[in-house]
Amino acid sequence: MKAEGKTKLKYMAKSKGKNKDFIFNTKDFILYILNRIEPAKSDKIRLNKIAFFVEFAYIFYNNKNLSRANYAAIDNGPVIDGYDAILKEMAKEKLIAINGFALRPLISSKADVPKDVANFIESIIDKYSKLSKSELISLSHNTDSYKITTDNEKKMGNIINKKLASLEAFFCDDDSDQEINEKNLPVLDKSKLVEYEL
Amino acid sequence: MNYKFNGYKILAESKFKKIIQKNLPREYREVFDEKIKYLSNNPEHPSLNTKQFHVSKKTLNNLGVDEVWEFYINRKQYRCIFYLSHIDRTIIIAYIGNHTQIKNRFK
Repeated sequence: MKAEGKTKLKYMAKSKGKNKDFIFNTKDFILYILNRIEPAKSDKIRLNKIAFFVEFAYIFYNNKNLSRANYAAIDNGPVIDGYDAILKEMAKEKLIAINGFALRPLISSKADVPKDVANFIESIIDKYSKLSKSELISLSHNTDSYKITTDNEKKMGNIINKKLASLEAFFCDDDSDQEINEKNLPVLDKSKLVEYEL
Repeated sequence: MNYKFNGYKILAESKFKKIIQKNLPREYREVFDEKIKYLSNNPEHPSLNTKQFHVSKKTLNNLGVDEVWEFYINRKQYRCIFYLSHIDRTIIIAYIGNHTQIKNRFK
């Protein structure tokens, strides 16, 4: 999982000015993603997986939600909660076209996305768009947030708590490994050690 | 890396809860507890990014432990340094802090 999911994030959204309160509504979030995915790869599975990775990576790095979408943990992994109904509504509103599993955006997202946020999102979309559908599914099944929500794939249908994004350390960039000066390691008085209570 | 310390008892100094409150933002305290559970049950869990430090025998003797490791609480920002004592089958939490705190303290 680690090798597949490891990302090299060049951009981090900064919580300043209008970024601070920015949040997508679900339809705009979907439109934004669909407009960024290659048309040939634009389908329901890819949309759901990319939306989940983008949102959870954003929370992981910025500790705040990116969209109002919720994510349900189902057999196919994490998906936007109620995505089928949302997509049908969007088709009725002529925001997207649906052809079987294929999706096509008909307009651009109207969301006023701060530049830093856009840079962040696009780097994640581009990263995960390169993966095959089976790789995306496999990776999403291996996320801690999915495994915890489904109790290791035993209970399906629950909403994934977005706070669990903090556990997804595979979003880390491993470039900044550092060594420590062993002389400064704390010497602990063993007589004062107690069992750590959770 | 040899991760054979699953099931070890987790120990910390009695003042450790205060250190957590000082060094770790509230939103990461629950995450820390989740990670401690992983550490005890499955040290190889991918969300931990567990890594062993190469430390001299002299230092290990001085510390009274066998190995020095770290895991990530939240990406690279917050980390936990811990010791292993195999004879006691214990994981001893030594320090938690963010990247800068650890750099300042251990560089």
